[in-house]
Amino acid sequence: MERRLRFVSFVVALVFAGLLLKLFFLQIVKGPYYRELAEKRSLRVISLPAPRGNIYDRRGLLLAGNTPSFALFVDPRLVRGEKGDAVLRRLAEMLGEDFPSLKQRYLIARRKSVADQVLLVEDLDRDVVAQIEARRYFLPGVEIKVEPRRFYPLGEAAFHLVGYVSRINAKELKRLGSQGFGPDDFLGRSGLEAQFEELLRGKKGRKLVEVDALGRVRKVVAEEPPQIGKSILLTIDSIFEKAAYDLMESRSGAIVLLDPRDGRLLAFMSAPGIDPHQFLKGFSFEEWKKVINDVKHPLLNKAVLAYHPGSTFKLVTAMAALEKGVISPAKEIFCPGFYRLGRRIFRCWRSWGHGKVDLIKAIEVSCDTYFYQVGELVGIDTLSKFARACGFGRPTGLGFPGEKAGLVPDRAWKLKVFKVPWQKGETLNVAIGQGALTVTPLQLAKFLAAVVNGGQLHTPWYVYQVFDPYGEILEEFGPRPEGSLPARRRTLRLLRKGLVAAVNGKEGTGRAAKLEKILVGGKTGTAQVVGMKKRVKSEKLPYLKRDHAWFMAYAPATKPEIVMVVFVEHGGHGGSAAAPLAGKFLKMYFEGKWPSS
Amino acid sequence: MAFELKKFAGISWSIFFVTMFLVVAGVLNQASASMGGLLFKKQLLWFALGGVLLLSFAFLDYQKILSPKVVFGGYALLVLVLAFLVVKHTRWLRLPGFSIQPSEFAKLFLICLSALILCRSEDEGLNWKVFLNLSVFTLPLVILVAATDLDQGGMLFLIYFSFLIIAGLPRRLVIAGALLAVGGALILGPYLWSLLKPYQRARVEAFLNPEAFALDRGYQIIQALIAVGSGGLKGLGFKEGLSSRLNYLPEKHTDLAFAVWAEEWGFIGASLVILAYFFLIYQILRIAAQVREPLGRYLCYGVAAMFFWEVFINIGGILHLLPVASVPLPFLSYGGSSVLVNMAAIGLVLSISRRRYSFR
Repeated sequence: MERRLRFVSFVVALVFAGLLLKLFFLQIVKGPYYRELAEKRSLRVISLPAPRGNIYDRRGLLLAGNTPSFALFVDPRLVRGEKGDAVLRRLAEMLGEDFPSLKQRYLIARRKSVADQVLLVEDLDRDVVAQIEARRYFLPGVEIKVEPRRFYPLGEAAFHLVGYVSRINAKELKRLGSQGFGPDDFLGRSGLEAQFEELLRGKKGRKLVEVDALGRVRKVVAEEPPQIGKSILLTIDSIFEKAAYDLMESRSGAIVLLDPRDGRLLAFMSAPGIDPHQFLKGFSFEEWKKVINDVKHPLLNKAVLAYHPGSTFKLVTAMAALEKGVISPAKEIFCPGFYRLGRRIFRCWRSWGHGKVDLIKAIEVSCDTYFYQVGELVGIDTLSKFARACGFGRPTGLGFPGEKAGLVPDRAWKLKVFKVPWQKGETLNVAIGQGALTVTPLQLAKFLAAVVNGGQLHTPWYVYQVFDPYGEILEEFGPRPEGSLPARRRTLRLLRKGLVAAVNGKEGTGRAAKLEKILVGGKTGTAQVVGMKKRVKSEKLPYLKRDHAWFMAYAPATKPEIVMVVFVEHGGHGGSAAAPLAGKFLKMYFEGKWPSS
Repeated sequence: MAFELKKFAGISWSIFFVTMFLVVAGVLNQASASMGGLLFKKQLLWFALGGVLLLSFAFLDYQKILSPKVVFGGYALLVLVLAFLVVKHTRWLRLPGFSIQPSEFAKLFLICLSALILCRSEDEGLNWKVFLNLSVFTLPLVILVAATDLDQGGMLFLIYFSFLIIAGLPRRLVIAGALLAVGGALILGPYLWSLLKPYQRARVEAFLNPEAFALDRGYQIIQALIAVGSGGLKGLGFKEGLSSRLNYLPEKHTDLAFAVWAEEWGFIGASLVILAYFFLIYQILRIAAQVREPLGRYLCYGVAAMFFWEVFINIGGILHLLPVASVPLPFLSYGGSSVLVNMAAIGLVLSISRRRYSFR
């Protein structure tokens, strides 16, 4: 028996040595591996979204803010198989959606999801939230998160100015993932939201939590609170913005309003817009197709796109001529309704002619014949030089995303692009704002502001203050002088006289903008979109071939405090399509009566 | 009653203290696993009762208690109870206020019974008569327990098998039996496989490839390995185990109690406990070698065999050396019956140790 006991003891020792060896292997050799597994399984980093900063108008009214919203997330590790189906079925009942469609949405979202949890429904109703929360026990793996959600009080009226945000997509996440972006984050997509993305975006917070086997948070290990983004105060007035948008009704176009004394923007509007909340909700395929195919291009900000300026550009031609001394203001030119250059006929918009016109009259009645001749005398070299000095052909310096430079054509440009020399006739077209010349409504406003304030060019600006969530002002901005117009005071005075005549004169093209008590100055513009052999009434053309209507105005002419550029895309004549809008707006402005405030 | 120093003579203090160490470890481990809840308090109560049992067994004369009448009488009662449980199809005998697990007690009875049978024919070796005697009395227990609790039935069979070895099962028979088992398994394997209950099949499958069944069958072993492995050298600290505290470990009070211990106390604590078990079993076997009296010797051997198989199968399962089986780990697992039986068994060993140097 002793022998057998010894044998048994030996076997026991052997087995225990084996146990110890395996224990050593698991805990010491593979210890770090299992430690990592344990932490990966039971520790989770929850990112806390940082509310974006607010955007305020000059009165302190909100243009973009945050409102809490409820989003429903589903954890695919817990919602799967038959049990998962049961959970989805209960959810479907509460959401009022049928189960197959919910399940399909879930499966698609799961495939596309880059996060641990799948976002199933955004912007839940409070009633539904209450229902779901009350049944949490029966809905394992379902979580409702409160998220700050962007909210735009002006809606589509300020769509192009403020822009919009939407969730980051997989491609962007790949690119920006290393910069701390997470799958649930939003990015500013256009307008101010995009231009000041860095400022507005806060710093996300993080929470390290322990999660138990049922997915419930048991303990917060560490927490780093989110930092709210910085807010900006604009010089924009949301009442002007809204009134301007409503004025456009169903038209397509842009209205830019600025203060000529320092170049601050008061309204910066393009129509039509889109409700920015729609980008948070998402578009259906049909809705998106409608947006894309709309001839009024609701996605384009027309205030920064370049168009032919039409007759509004005659001011530049006049300025160049006066400065170069090629004409005297009193010199009269006879307008028979056309001008002949070589064998080509250049028509005046009034086919029966204006008769004898001097400079002021030519601006008042917008006589093409006069400016054909003046343009020919000035020449393209001088004209393009003056146009550039007036701020055309380059971005205004506002910094707005997508702002176009416009085009000021000259000999070098023609040779480079078309490989043929400049034709004399082209100078005539440029002189009346046609040809290859394009400008943006914003550039035009900047130019007019300089004309009416005595010649000082200001870079337009709209951000007045940047402040942190506690109201501490971090940065303050002011006027940005950019230089002077290449014109003497006398020249500018003459131009202004012409502008006043164009609105108040007996034959003024901009009479629709005339006010009773306030002296308004302005200039109409009608930009041809397609060349016509014969003059045809714009209204009779198909929409896309109609002329663009322009009107630029300032008031009061005695002491200018506001400059306004109205651009109506395919609107027809500047005098009949754009000037009345400016008239209505200026009336409201000086009477202080707004439709809704 | 006069307190006689003589009574302590020869008692194995090393067994007593290593048992106390394991009891303390068990109490701490339950405190952590149940976060000081109800199970912890109940376990404390069981340890208190078990302590009384241990002391009474240690100071009583085992030869007087374990008279054939008592053992066979108890055996008959146990068989009745077990048969009743088989009919009722349950593992638990529900008594007013608490329930007990007779299969645990069956282990102790099987040891006493086998020791009693073998000690009567100590010099004969394992002949047919002894073999039949042993088998006729013990196998019914094995079968009755296995009918409701296959794992415990297996434990009983292993103890029975250990007795066969010590009684002198010839080596050639062991080898032949092993060959027969392997051959039989190969031929009858598919048939036996189909006989197994689904949960038993699942265990084997999970043992062979836990990752493939990570969410159901393999879940237990994967979580156990993560718990043990993440303990590292020093452990995560008392009540700090990520796996146990956050309920990733199933059965953390009972079958996987060692995983909780290994996670919280690390390699230092876990190897200490394993060494303690080894030391305990080794000491009991040493007493078996020292005691000149055949009943005590076989009893010690049986108790050592019981602890050995329980520790090996439980810890071996957690360390992924064996398929996971549902057997309690002595002193560390929660369970009233298990605590009482283990404490009584240690008491018996201590009682025997007092007589190791006497030759009566």
